[in-house]
This record gives sequence, structure tokens and C-alpha cells, in this order.
Amino acid sequence: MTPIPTAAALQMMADALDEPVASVTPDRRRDSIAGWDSMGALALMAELDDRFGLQLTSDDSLKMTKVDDMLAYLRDRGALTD
Amino acid sequence: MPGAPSFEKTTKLVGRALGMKPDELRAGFRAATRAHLPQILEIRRKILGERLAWDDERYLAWRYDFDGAGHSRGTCFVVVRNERVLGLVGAEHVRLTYDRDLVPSLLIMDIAVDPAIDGSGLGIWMDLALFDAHPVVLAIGANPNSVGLVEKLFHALPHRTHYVTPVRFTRFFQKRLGRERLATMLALPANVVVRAWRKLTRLRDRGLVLRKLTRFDASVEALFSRRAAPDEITFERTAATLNWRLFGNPRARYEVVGAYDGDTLVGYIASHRTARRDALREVGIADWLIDARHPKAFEALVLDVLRRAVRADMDLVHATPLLARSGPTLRRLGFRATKRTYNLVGVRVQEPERWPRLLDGAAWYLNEANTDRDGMA
Repeated sequence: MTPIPTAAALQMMADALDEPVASVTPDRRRDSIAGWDSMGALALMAELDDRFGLQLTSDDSLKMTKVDDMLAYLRDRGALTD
Repeated sequence: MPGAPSFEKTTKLVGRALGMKPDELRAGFRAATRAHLPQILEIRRKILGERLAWDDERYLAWRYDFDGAGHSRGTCFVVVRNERVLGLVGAEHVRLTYDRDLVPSLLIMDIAVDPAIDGSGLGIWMDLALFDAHPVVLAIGANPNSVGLVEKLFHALPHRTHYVTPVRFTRFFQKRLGRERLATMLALPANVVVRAWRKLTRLRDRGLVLRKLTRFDASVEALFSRRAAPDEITFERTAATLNWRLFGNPRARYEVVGAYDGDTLVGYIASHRTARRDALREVGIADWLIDARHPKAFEALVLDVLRRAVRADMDLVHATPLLARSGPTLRRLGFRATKRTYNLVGVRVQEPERWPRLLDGAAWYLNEANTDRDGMA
């Protein structure tokens, strides 16, 4: 696994959710991000699998209520450099 | 498609989320049989809750061919793991007119996943599995849960346009104004004017005889071959499919009126009554087909729906086609056009170079009868 900075993780999320990166901020709630629907969640699962070999489960995914929860998930698994 | 992983990748991810190997997931996807029906009903009960205001078992048994008896052209596909139904997607096998060909296509309708495995991506996977197996897949309409999925997985055609006209103003004004006395005062002259106008328009029926149909026969197939704008992409109409679709449906009772020139069927229109949550009573025009040689039959048939709606004490009449050329006539007859978020139409084509016009919204004619919203307001 090659860890990435938080800014790159936010860019990765924005790409997967098909949202402008400026709108994907740590305090942003999931339900306010249109792209973070079932398709967005699946795209994130795919991205984490490809980049880090992380197996984000549907349970873990559903528990995430804001962008910061995803960052915390990555940080806990050593995928962030900062 | 932004954000949509490949079918292969999705199979791996969804299989993993469900504790199934990719091959197991693929093998678990099959046409449902009668034995699956109780579990399908249970999943739909969990998801639809109070919105489930009809006999769902009877409706599904009509909609889908669980026994392989061929009474319906619908198939309910399920994903099964150890005999447990995890999710379902209902689809109708249709044929689309394209130049002189009929293109076998699949219309996706109900999608439901057991809430216990929400977030697994199974709904998306089922869509992708159908895309993989069918050259053309359609989605007509969506709900708040599926709108994002349709927008992301399908090529967007223009939304169907919702046309609506009041036929009696009393309850309509009461709802808008909230003051019963004022509404009654305003409605009185409006009702008189509209009634007089509709009576005058009876003259336009001249030359055609309108008759209620209780069954379609081969004459509708002859009409289909003489239909207006034969280059348009639309669902093939046959007597068998129309009889199933409009006369056998347990969730909606359709009234079908045919227009005749002598003994020749030159048009038909199908409509049904619905009650809205706001207590307005509404007639929905679900389908029509018009002979190219008798374009005025459309106007005569719509006017007939309006007159019958007045007689039945309805408040509104609406139609929701994807058909730009119907707009001027409907507007002339008093309909107002609105756009609605969930009237979206999406098409997924494996070989777009083979059927390029499938991606052109202006080439299509679709109607409410091409959806699964029968009997719903």
C-alpha cells in the first residue's frame, strides 16, 4: 500500500463520487453529497480496493455519515500520510 | 459513465460484500419462479410499507411470468443465496421499432434489495448483469431511491412531458385557493365556459365513430402498420400484448376507445382513473396510436377522454408522453406542460453504432403505458 496525503484522498473521493473537489470537505455530510449514493459508495469501494487493497464492507460504508469518516477509515488503516 | 466500475469489478465487490464468490453471484441470478414469490412479496412489503396499497401477489402474478406459461411478457429476476432471495429486478421484454426492424429490448421496472443487505451494491450489480445479457435496456421513470442510478447507468433521453388540464374547477380551485366559497364562485363560470367549449369541439368528431373497446383484435396490428410517424422508435403494439397490458391489469382498470372510419380502426386511446393524495380525482391517458391517414383522430379521442372525465366528475386529465409532436395538439386542447423530476428516460445500448437513433430523444414515442405506474397517481 502506498499512503497518500489527505488532499489526494479528497480528490480521490471527489473523482469516485463525480463531485467537484471543492465540495468534498471533511465536515461535509454524506446526505448532502448527491454523488454519494449507492453508485458512489460502490465506486469508493472499487477505488479503495484498487489503490490500497482495502476491503470496505457495506456495513462500514453505511456507517460513514460524513467525509471525515472516510478519512478516519483511511487513516486507521495507514492509507494517509498526514 | 463516471464512477461506475466495470461489471467484472462490480461482481467481485458485490460478491465480497455478500460473502459470495463471483461465480456464485452470477449463478444465483435467475428468473424467479412461483416458489420465490413469498420472499419477493416480503421484500417489497419491507420497502414499500404503507405505499403498498394493492394486492401485490395478484399484481406480481399478472406482471411476471413466474410459471413460464407465457401469459405475460415480464420476467422477475432474483439473486438467490442458499434459497434466500436477496434482491429482485422486474423487467418486461419488449420490441422497439427501428426503421423496418423490431429490436428486442428489456424494460427495467421494479428493483428491490433486501434492506438487511443495503449498501452491498446488489441493485447496481443486477442492472449491470442485465446490461451484459441484453443489447438494449430501457428505464422509464424513477423514484427518489433509483433516480441517481438511472442517471448514472443509462444514456439520458429527454424527460417525458407531463401535460395536465382541469376539467372541473370546483375542487381544483378549492385546493389552490383554500377558500371554499371563493372557489365555488370562481368555479361556476369556469365550468360553464369549459363545458360549452367542449360541446363545440364535438363537431371535430365528424366523420369518425368512437366506440369503447373491451378487447383488441387483429385490426390494431393493421393500425400499427399504418401508424403516424412510422420512423419513430416505439414499443410494438400487438393485440396480445395490449390485451394483457390494458385489460388484464389488476392494479388499473383502463377504458379504451377506438376511432373508426367506417369499419376501419384508425386510432385508439387508453385512459384510467386515479385518486391523488390531495383528493383531486384524475384521469391519466396511458397510451394512444393514430392512423397516419387520420391525424385528427388524436384530437377526437383526447376530447372524448375529456368529456368522459367531466361526466365521471373528475377534476383533472393528464398525459405523460415522450413525443414532441403531440405537444401542439394537447396545448390547443387546454393542456399545460410541466417537467417532473422522476419522468426521466434512460437507454443503454450495447452497440450504439448499430442503432444510433436509439440515443436520439427526438426519435422516440413513449407513453405512460410503457411504465409500471399503473393505477398510481
